Amino acid sequence: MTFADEFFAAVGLPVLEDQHGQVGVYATDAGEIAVTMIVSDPETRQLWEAELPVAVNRLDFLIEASRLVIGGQLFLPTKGHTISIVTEDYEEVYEVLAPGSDMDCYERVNVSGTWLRVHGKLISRSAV
Amino acid sequence: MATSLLADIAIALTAKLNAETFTKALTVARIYDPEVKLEELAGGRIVVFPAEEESRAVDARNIDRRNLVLHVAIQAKLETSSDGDTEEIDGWLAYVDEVKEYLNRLRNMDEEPYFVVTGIEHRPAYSVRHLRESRLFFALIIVKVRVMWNMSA
Repeated sequence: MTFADEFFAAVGLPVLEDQHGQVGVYATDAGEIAVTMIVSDPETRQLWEAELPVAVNRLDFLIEASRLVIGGQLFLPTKGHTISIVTEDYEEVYEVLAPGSDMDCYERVNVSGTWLRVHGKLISRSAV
Repeated sequence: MATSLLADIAIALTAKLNAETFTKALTVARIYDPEVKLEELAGGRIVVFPAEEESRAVDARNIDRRNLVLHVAIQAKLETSSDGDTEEIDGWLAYVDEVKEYLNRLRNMDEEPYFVVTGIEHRPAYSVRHLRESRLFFALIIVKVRVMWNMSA
């Protein structure tokens, strides 16, 4: 990570969040919290096994780490947490999951970790 | 419309499985395109689809011996948090066992198409890749079926 990453996290992301952020519900076993986040464009990839493909819709959530607090406790994203967002037509639930088997379910955007890129996969979609 | 023997056996196998009672009340579906979306797997699904066929003429008796392979796939998005995956996977593997036990002794000699299940394989027992990447249970039962086919009939 470079100075540009730190600058982007300190200056660029707050502006982006202000202009394009949306409120989602982040849920863990301990409870849930409404969090403002920047949502990336979705992409679809296929997960193959024994010639059976599973289409996985995934996207990333950029979240300021200090906002991940439930019951007064800061926490880090963990596999199995969920993030719910509402789009124009649907309520979508994403599970926090690594994009690939050799990756983590989140990354620090900058060295100091003030912003996190949380990876999610769509597990539920219902019309609103 | 005429159907192929592969389709006939897949239809019969699907009907047999749907007529049986297992601990999980899933409806078995017959498909050709096995692709599915992750978000459609809440609660699980079990599907039957044809895989391959081999035919061999048996002596001069105008009979073909046809060996078919059908796949029975069981897929389920795990519901509980990562702490509870083991117990949930135990339950799905037990369900797969029930389906395997039923299929392994399946003989359909009362009505056409007559067939006998000659063997099954359970491979993969579960997909580690699907589990790691999507917390998805996936098991495949490979069903080997033998059909005696009278060409003069």
